[in-house]
Amino acid sequence: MNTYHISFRAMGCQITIQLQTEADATPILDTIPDQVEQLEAQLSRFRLASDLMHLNARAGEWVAVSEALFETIHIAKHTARLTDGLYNPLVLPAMIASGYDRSFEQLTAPTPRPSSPVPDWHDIDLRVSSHQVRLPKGSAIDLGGIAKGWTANFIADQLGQYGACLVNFGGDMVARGAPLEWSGWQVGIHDPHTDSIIAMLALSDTAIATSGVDYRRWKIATGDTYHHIINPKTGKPAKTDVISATVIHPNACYAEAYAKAVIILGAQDGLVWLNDQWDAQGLVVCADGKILATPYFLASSQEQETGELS
Amino acid sequence: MANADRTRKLFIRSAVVTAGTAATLFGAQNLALLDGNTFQTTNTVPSSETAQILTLNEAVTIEQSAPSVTILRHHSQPHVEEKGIASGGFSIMPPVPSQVTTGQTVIYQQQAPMPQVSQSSR
Repeated sequence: MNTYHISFRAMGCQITIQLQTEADATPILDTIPDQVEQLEAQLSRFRLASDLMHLNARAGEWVAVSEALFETIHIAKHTARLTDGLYNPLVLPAMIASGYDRSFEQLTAPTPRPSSPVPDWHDIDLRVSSHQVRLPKGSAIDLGGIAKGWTANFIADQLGQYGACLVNFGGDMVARGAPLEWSGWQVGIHDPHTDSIIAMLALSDTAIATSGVDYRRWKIATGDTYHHIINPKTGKPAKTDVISATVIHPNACYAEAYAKAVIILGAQDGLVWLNDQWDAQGLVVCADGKILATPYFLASSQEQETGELS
Repeated sequence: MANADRTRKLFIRSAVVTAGTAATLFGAQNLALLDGNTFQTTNTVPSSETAQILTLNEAVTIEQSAPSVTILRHHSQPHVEEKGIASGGFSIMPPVPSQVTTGQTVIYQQQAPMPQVSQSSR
């Protein structure tokens, strides 16, 4: 059994994939960067020619979109419902108004503009049979982490046919199976305060996503610091006591969106809310250094202490 | 004679009703037990196979807070480690590639699964 590794940059992040298989995985992995590139060309808001930007430019009209874009918008709308609008894909105008108007690597010192309220996600209309989408007039979608999560799921589902794999999109990961003689793929949770690892997890057949205000933040002309997590209720960067939130969920799209919801809600309320979601568990690092988690994190560590892990 | 017949019929009817009631109660109790068992099996904690903590940073303290929140660490404790080295002497530096393809994309075989770090996207 061989473990193959591929690493490349796409979707604004470093992508690292590990695949354990008896087959020669080089030709299999060789196709992955092109596949990711094709999906990015459909889903990115930073590419003017993307399907997404084409849709955004025609808000108010019915537009036929690619299968990938339709599915991601469908998931985005469903996630908005599950989070009661804490995740809202229609935050793009607010995000641009706050200064995040280009790929993060190209961001300088923007001057934010006053933002208008984020439109209601209920008004995103979908026609399943024809893959058509209609956005509310004057609105625009940013799929953000959902596009990355969906792509990571897509790649993991493919590679999972050949063997156990871990697909890592810049820190958001999908695990399929477990490597030989391991209970799962080893994943550390980063502590932004100390740049160390808070805990090591063994993941199999699940996904993990970390979202935070410790990265993708910028200083505006007034000297204030802004970040990319917009509170849809205010249309401005969320005021929160959370520096980073990590969520484990079977689906990377939901893990990513739930992590953002937890940040917007704040540490205590966010984890209480997360604990009510039957299929998720999470951990937050607070601005004052506190680290909080849903009880299952504790239960898992207790299993480790009693030696129940293989 | 007629009275004895009526008494016997009444007795048999009473016995049938009593037996029916007892059977209903017994059945209901069994169903309730069955429901309880099903409830227990469908409401167990998610399988530990999907996510297990292997090691916990020594600086982390574990305490129970509100019913649904667990405090792992109260406040920031200086625990700065050598960059790239996780707690427990665990290295997260990538291994040396044995096979490299052209361009920025790198494919290689490695000895063992390489640990990854979940962090805000970068």
